[in-house]
Amino acid sequence: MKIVAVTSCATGIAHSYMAAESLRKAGKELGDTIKVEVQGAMGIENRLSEDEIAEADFVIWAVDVGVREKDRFDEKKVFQFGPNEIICNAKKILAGVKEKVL
Amino acid sequence: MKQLEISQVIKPETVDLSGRGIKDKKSLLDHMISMMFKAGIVVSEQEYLDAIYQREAMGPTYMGNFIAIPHGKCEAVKNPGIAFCRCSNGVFYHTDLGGGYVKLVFMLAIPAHVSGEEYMRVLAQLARLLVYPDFLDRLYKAQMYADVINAIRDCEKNLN
Repeated sequence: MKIVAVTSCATGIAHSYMAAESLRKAGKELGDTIKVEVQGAMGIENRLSEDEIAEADFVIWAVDVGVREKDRFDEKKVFQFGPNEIICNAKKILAGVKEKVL
Repeated sequence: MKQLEISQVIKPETVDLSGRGIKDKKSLLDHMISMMFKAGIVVSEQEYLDAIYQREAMGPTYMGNFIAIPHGKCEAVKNPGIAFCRCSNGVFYHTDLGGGYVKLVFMLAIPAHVSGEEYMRVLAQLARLLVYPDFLDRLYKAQMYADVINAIRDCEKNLN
């Protein structure tokens, strides 16, 4: 499946990046294509394009603060989690969401 | 352009592989903050301690898997820096949502105003490495500072 995600956390460094890495690792293990936008202390990294969002089967938000420019996702199925949950359990969570969507 | 070296952000004096004398979360944090202060990464222990606890109140820095990543962002941080403490016997790291035993603790010092983006990139890089069991394994086996740095350099290549 094609997945896009956004991660964001309070200080914008540790959890944002760990969650992003966890998602990429999980996506790889599950055989999915996943692109993760990190909204961190250094701004928006790996920004998701309109096309990438449009083509995605679903969206994951691993955030504990607001998502910047969230109107980009208005038409999409968004599944929101805390960054910590994702860091601890990305593969299981991702597999669970996939099942829901299919 | 020369890239910032990980060894510039994690210095020998901020790495403690013994965990000697650490019996609880308080003594753990105090010890690591003291290392940061002595290394000149933070200029005020109290201010940085406050920032650490402020962040603790926002949500867990206990990551499961025997890892904790306490971090503080404040004016007292002169340059971004990382301290590492290994407590082989485990120390209980309590949080509002429970907590658990930790053996690998990375403390991050983040400046209030992000100027040196290169430094921040190093912090982010380290955070990402913590997701990989191979990296954690090497940290458990490390005998000295150089082993920690080499683990980071080697495992960085496998980042996704």
